[in-house]
Parts: sequence; structure tokens; C-alpha cells
Amino acid sequence: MTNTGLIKLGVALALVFALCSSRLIYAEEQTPPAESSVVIPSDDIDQTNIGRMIWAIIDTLEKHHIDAPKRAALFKIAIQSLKLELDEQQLAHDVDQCVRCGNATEFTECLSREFKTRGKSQLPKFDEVISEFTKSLSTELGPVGVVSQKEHGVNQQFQNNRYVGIGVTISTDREQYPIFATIAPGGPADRAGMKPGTVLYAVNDQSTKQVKVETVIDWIRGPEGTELTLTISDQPNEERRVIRLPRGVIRFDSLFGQRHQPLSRSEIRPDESEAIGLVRFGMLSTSTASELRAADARARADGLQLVILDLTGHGPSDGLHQATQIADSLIDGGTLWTLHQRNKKPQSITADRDCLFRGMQLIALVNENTHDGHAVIAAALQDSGRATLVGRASSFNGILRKTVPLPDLPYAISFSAIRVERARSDRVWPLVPEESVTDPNAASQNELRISPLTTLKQQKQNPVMTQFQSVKEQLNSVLRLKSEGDAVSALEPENENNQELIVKRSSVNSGNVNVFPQTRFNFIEEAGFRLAKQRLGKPDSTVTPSSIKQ
Amino acid sequence: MIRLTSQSVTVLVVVVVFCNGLLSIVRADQNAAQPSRRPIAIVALNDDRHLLVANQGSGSISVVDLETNAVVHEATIGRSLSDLILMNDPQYVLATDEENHELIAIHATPKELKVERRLKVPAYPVNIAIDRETQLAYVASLWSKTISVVDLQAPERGSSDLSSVIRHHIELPFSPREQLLITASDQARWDPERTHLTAKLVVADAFGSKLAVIDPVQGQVESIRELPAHAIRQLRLHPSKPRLLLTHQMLSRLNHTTYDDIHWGGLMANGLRSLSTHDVLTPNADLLEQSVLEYIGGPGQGAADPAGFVMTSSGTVGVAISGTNEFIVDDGSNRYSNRIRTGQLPTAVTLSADESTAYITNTLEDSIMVVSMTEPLRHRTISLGALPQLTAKDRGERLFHDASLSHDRWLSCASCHVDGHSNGLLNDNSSDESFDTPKRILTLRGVNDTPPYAWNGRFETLRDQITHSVRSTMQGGELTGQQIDDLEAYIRSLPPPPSVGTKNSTDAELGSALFRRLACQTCHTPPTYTSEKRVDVGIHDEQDATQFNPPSLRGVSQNAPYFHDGRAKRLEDVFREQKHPVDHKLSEEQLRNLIEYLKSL
Repeated sequence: MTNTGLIKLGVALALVFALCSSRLIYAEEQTPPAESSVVIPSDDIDQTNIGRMIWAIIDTLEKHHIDAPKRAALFKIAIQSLKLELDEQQLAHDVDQCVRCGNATEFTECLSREFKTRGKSQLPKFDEVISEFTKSLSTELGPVGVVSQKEHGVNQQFQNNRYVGIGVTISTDREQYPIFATIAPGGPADRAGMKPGTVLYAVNDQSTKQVKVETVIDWIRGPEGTELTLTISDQPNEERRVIRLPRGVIRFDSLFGQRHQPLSRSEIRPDESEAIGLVRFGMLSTSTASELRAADARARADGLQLVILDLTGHGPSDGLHQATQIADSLIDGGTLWTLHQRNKKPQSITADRDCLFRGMQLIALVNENTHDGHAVIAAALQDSGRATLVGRASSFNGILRKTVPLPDLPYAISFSAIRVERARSDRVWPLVPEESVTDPNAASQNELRISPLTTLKQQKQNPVMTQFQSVKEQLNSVLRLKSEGDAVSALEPENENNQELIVKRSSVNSGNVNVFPQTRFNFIEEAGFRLAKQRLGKPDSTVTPSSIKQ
Repeated sequence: MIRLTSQSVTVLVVVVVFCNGLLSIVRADQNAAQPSRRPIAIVALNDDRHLLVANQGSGSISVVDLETNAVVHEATIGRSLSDLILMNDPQYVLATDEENHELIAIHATPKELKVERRLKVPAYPVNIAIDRETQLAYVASLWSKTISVVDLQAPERGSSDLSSVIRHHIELPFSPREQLLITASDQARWDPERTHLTAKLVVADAFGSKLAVIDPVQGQVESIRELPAHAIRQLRLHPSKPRLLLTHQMLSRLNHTTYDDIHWGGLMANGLRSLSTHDVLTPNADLLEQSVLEYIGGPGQGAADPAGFVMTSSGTVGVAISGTNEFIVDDGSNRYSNRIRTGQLPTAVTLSADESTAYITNTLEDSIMVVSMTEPLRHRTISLGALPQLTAKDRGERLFHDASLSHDRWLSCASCHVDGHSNGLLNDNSSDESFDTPKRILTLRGVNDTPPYAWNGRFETLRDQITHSVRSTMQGGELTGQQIDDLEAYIRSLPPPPSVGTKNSTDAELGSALFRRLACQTCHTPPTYTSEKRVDVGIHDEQDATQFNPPSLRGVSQNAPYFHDGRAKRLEDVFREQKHPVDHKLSEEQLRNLIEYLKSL
């Protein structure tokens, strides 16, 4: 007693490669382990990898997929994919036997025995087999995607708003040398004074002439703080110069305001005469809750009484942690949702007390694009009574994805892993807004509407490739576009006025697409503002001071 | 004359026990080197020229002359002073001594410091509030969890009769530190139509989230509510508005101890909050209904451990940031970005009478900082005396409070282990080798002889735990060997939280027998009341881990809430609700005995 004091990830591996052939590429990366290259090495390793990959994918899905798929069924899909890629008639022995193997090594050896009997030209291609496999899995289990761990690392950088690079997008069309199409504001390239249109001749003295984009990207990517030497010219045919650039962290806004400008650089109050704020959610990231704090301080300083949250977006598909942080910051205590995962007891997630925009009413805008984190946040806002939802119903079914690295392989797999049960037992998915708004220009089945926030326009400003991918996925899934080129061309048109893009198939049998920039997608937003003004017509008794000093 | 309540009798007994213990410390300390002063509280005298500084390390009060920038007088008043406040008569101050457990009235002039009176109060007094209208003083006693209402006008009748002096002992279910009196005239000023107003005392949890409102005249607790807050280091009234201001931290159990969650301010946030006094004074009101929170620090520039603060009539705020050794001045225009470097561990802040200047105690540097509130770049530091050579423990203490050990200075060790103890909250770190499994932060007091560490006992040595906590939980850099040694020396020096019970009561003796009969000592083995094993007591975490290292029961009454997830709010709940360790049927009497025994540990 002597005390002293006191990713949404691609539907298939194909996407990884697709990235490299698409027109715009962001050159970004974290520390690249040698083996994590997407480039497929020698045929031997290729074949070995097929067995190991299939085994690892099956293992992971069996353990973690929300639908609890049976191992035998997964192997059946794998073998079918393999047979499809090989010429089935020529199988030397029954690969079905391989299914009975006890471990990855035996399985790989079993497949190898089959491969050994074949000539080099008849060997299955790793990417094609895995692509086929994940495609078949996707029809059974919902989207299953494989990305390189390298790409997964980049996705995680975006997700945490800690992207390392020089901040450029690369365009290669019709050029012998790549061109920096856009320059991220505040990034190393921007700080070095580079402008869009800069031609890149060499990276660390290696010529980029007719070099594949993914290779150029690989050269440009590297760990934070390391330097690279670029040979560039401001315009084609201008004098070349050599500059040294450090790779650095580039931050991107995840909240936007009026005219889709980053909220940090635009007004939170679109109309000076109204005490109504507008906060648009882009791709969710770990910085979003922090950005919301800044928005809250400005909303208070502006004396706002109501804030409209535009949740007509989505992604990343495995952004549950970020969605939890955001919902927690917006909702003043109580249950957010209950999570159901394989081999785990249901887990009810409660918000801490206190919330941003206290004393202000909230209206959340939703539509068919409201998916993933945006959808669960909207649901929690609705279930807690914190916000009124305005817009159109979302088809999001409450299943979130998870990206899990495959053990000892340079790939990660993303799949449906978490079922989100809504806080109110009388409410189920899909999300239905209290204030339903009908589209004055109703969409047909053969078209896809892309809200301004998810369009390529946005992508150009913010290199969130995963979001770009997810738009492409939608194009693929809704319009069933076969070729990557179609999807890209659908996204190509300049859309300077932040209009909705309506992508329509020319005819049912054609993969061709027509793109119609649409001026009036903001009818949901208009409905939101109408309701907001109506609400503010009634006086509110609670007045919270806008600052501590007042 | 108000009669002594039975509660106060218990507390007085405790005081006696503490006094016996103190004798041994006196002897031990005679051989110790001159301790550092550790200025902890500060008042400005009405002459606009002198400051009085209470020193925790030396038990002295230093008189600082602001014209000569020097100490003009210093007198030892007690063993370890914890607070200092001006009385009605500006020539008198009240101080608390948290080792001698005294409230001390001192006649204080720039030339002389003379103890007028000493009053035994419940053990570990740490804060004084005063009602100048009623001449009542309120003393918060930390580990005794008691507020004493002291009548400053009562005549002295010898130390054995305190009944006329201490009007009430008000027990709280948490350890109090900061107090704020909202007087009848304060309330009348805000709401002139209300009559029959009485003063209310707001008391904040020293470690965790609770805020109590007490009617000090009736000696009644009117409300105990929780805030999304911990480490509430100062309460003040807004100079002109009916608002209560407080500095505190926020720890989110939904965020992980990852680089990114720390970087964006998700895991730990630091701020200044304003509450409506109407809500504070209305027992059933939601404290947060009209709350405003201003975040201090942001990505790239954390501001760990906001401590003392002041606000001028024009609304300029000055906040001491203990974890970053800074003083931040904000007139509403700069979002707390105007930072001035202070000495080590700035704690208390007070304003000059004309509000032009702030005075700050640099607790671990034995100095006072004088800062202009209008031109913060104009500042000076006044030494209170030579700083003794730092020992490993001293260096460790500095590191313990140093947020530069963490990523971007968002948190220090002390942010969760407030005063070496615990904020009682849940934190989702990787010490248990998983995320999404938030666990209660354990006290560091008494960990010297209780290996292994972490809830799952994965760290064999304290060194391993320290290294992991700084590297992973705080996302800091690698510590040097010397830094680990120093931190270890400091943490090992922290004694267990003191108990408030006595082993000698019949209840405690029966409880002790019951403890043995129930074989509690199998896991909670004396003398440390813990063991190195990992045990399944029928509860699991979110990842279905069931094997936990039993926490030590020394000072267990100070360690609420209980279990890895804080599921038992009180000791009683451990047995009554959670049926720990297994489904034992305890009678009410047995339960009482067992709890009395546990309180004595």
C-alpha cells in the first residue's frame, strides 16, 4: 500500500491482362517480389502453376466462400475447364483421377503426367485455363476473380489512399512510344512539371519503343522513395531530356462536391441561398472517414442544416472495413449490421456513440449503381433512421467480397465471402429507398447506365483502376460484351459535362455498342434537393453551435 | 452539523492504513537522489507578476517572478503535490498531496509559503474544485474513487474530528480526476428565469469515459453517463456560453492498429469537445445531443494526448498537447495548426488575469512556459531549478509519454495506458495475432512480475511486448536497445493499482477462505495473483480463441471492466452474470465476502 502517485476484382484473370492492353494504364506498384510477375515464365513452371493454382483456389473457396461449395463440385468445374482448354479427345489418361489426390503436390504431378505426353504447342496456357476456371466458378458462385498479388497490392494502396507511383496514366495508341495521358495533381510527375502529352522514350535507360505497356508499367513501378530516370519530351518531335523522379505517395480524394470536383477544393454548399450540403462518395477508402470529418467542420462553419450524401456508386467490393469506418462516423451508436461468414459466428457490428453532421438531417441518394460499401452504408443509414433514402432501388444482394492471397503463389483470389444482414430484421436486400424516383427516360434491358461518378472521366482524374475494372465488368455482365475492345470503346468517349453515359448494344446479336452521353441523370439528385428544401421548410428545434468558440 | 456517513468511516480507516504504509516510504526515500520537481499545477497570483507552481516530484511549491523570470521562493509543502487552487482570499491557496493524502491550506505570498492547515482526505487526492460562494471545496481522490466535500469555514477541532470539516464523502464507480463546479450564479446567468438553483459538480473519469454530475450540498450523485472519450484531462466552462468544454481522446474499437487506420485518424483521435451545460445538468439528457467536437491534429500531424487548455473571452483556445510537447493556439481561423514547441510533457495551463498570456507546466522538464495568446511565437521558458540527471526510469517515462514513438504522433503509450494504468476500453491490435478481435487494454501497473504478456500470453518477456506494441500497435519505428531498456525500467517501476479494501475485515477473511476453497489460486496464484498458464474459462473472442492468460488480481477493484471484452462492468458481474470461472453457485453472502477479499488485494 505504498503507492506513490499516480476490388472489386476482375471477374477473371483475363482482366489482369486486359489491363495491360487497355488504352489507359496507371503505372503504380509497391515492392515487387520477383516471383509476383504477371508475365508467365517457362512452360514447366506454367504447368506446375496450373495444378497449384487450381488446388489453392479450391482450398480457399472451400474454406471461405459464403455458399460453402463442396470440394468435389469445385474439382469438377476445374477439370471441365481444363478439358475445355485441352483437346479432350487427346487426353492420355483420365484427369478425373487427379481429383482423388491428397495434396497440391500430388495433384500437380498428376496433371503433369498428362501434360508430359503432349507436345509443346499442345500444352495448356496457364492464363487461359485459370481464366476459364474462374469464369465457370463465377457462374456457380457469383463473381470469382484472380489478380496478381502485385495488382492486389496496388488495389490495397488505393483502398488505403496510399498509392505509390509517379502519378501518370499511359496511353499507347498508335504511338511508337508511350505517352503520359494524364498527370495526377500533386504527384511526383506533376511536381516535376510534366504535362499531359509527355512522350516517354526510356525508363532507366531502357528504350520504351514498341515495348508492351505492362512492361513499361513494371519499369515505372517501385517502392516509395526510390528514384527512376525518365527520358521524355513535352511533345512528340521535341527535344528529349532526361529527368530523375522519386516515386512517392499520391493521395486521391474520395469525396466530391458539386460538378464532381474533389470536395476539398469545392464548395460543400452548392446553392448559397440554401442551408443544404452535397457530399458525393467516390471509391471508398480509409481516408474517406477522415475527409468526412473535414466536410463536417465545413458544414458546421457554413451553418448547414441538411446534407445530401450521394451514394450512387460502388467499390471497392472488398471494402467492408472502410464502409464500417464511414457508417460508424455517420451514425450515432446502435447496430450497423450483422456479418455472416463461413465458420464464424454471426457478428453484430455496433457503431460508437457520436456522429458527424450532428444536428443536421441527412438524405442519401441511391440507385442501381449503389453496391458494395455504398449499399451497406446506405442500408445502415436507413435502418438507423439517420437518413432518408431517395432514388432507385439497388440490386445489391448484401454479399460482399473478400480478397485472399493464395498461399505460396503470386496471386490473390476475390470471391463472395460475407453476407451482410441488415440491422432491422424487417428490412431485407435489395435496398429500396423511402422516396422512390422514376427515371423520366426509362432504360431498356439492353443498355447500361453509368453514373458520372463511375465514368471514365472520373477515372482519368483518379487512377482507381479497380473502379474502371468494375465498370467494365458491368459492361460485360449487362451487355455481355465479348471483347475487351468493345468495353473499352464503350468507355472512351469524352464526357466532359459529367453526364450519365448510356451504353446500348446496337443489336441483340452484335457486340457493337453505342454510347449516348445523357444530360439528365441528375433527376435523383434533383429529387433529393426537392425533398431537402421541403424538409427545411419546417423549422428544426435543435440548434447545435457550429464551433466550440461560439 | 452533518453526521458522518458509514461510507466515510470506511474511507477513514483506509486513510489510516495508508498512513502506516507511508512511514516506510519516508525512510526509503532518505537515501534517494534529489527528485525532479515535476510541476503539475499552476496558478497566477492577483499581482499580475507571480505564479505559484505545485510540484509533484518534490512536494514543493515554487514561486515564479514573471519580471525576473526566476524562482524567487520555494518551500516543501508535502510529499507529492497534485493540484493547486486559489481561495477566496487571494493570499491563500489549497493544495492536495497525493502521497500524504492531505488537503493543505497555505498562506501564500511571493515571499512566504506557510502551511496553515492540513486535512486528511480519502487516499490519493488529485484535484480540488472550490465554490467561492459557499466556501466549500471538493477534493477528488483517485484510487479511493471518492469526492470529499470540505467546509472551508468550519473551525478546526483536531485531526480526529473531521465531521465538521468534511461534510460528505461521495463514492463513485470510477476513479475521478478532473472536476468542474457549475455554481448557482453560473446557472442563473444562463437561465435568469430559473430559481432555487444549486451548485453542481461535474466529475470526469481519470482514465475512461464516464462523467458524473453531483449535487455536492446533498452529497448525491445525480447522473453518471458515458462519453465516446477517454483521458479527459481538463474540464472548463466556456467563458460566456452555457457550454462545458473538455479535452479528451477517442479510441475506436472498429479500427485496427494498422498504418492506415492510424494515419487517417481512425484508430485514435484527439479533440476538444463542447457539451451543452443544460444537457450536462439534466440527468436523463443525452450528453451528445448538442455536442460539438473539434479534432485537434490530422493526417500527417497527430496531436496525441491533449491536456490542459484555456479559452479567452474572445474564444481563442490554447491547448497543451502532452504527447507532442506542443501548445496549440487557435483563434478559430487555423484548425489547430498553430503549434508552438514546449518542454517535455506540458500538462496544466492557466491564463493571466488579462487573458493575454498562458502559463504552462512542463512536467518532465521542471520548467514553466509563458506564451502570448495573441502572438504565440512570443514565448519564453522559466526553469524551476536544475533538472537532476535522468535515470533509465526517467528516460522511460519521457518515452512513455512521447507520441513520436507512434506513426505521425497520433498516440503515445499513455494514450491507452493513461497514467500507466488503462483507459478500460477495447483496442483491436495484433498482440493477440488477429484483427476484428478487440480486447480490453490492460493496466501496466504491477506488470513487473506478471509474465507472460498479452491476452493470449504470447509474449514471454515485457521487452517483447514493448517492442511489439511500439512497432505494431503504434506503427512506430524500431526502438533502440537503450529505448527498450528505458521503457522497461519505467514500466517495471509502476506498482500495482492500490486496493481500497482491508484484509482484516470478517468479510474479507471469509472471502479469502472461499477463494482458496474455490481453488481460485490455481490460476490466480499469490503473491502476484496470476500464473503463466493460458486458460479456457468458457468465453471466446470473435475468432474463437479461448485460451487467455489470467490477469493479476492485485488491485483488481481498480481494473473494471473485466474479461477480454469488458463484458463484466463490475466485480459482482464477474460472478453473478458471467459465473466465472465456471458455474459456481455462490450465495449472496459468499459473493459479498469474496468481493471484499478481492477489493483488499
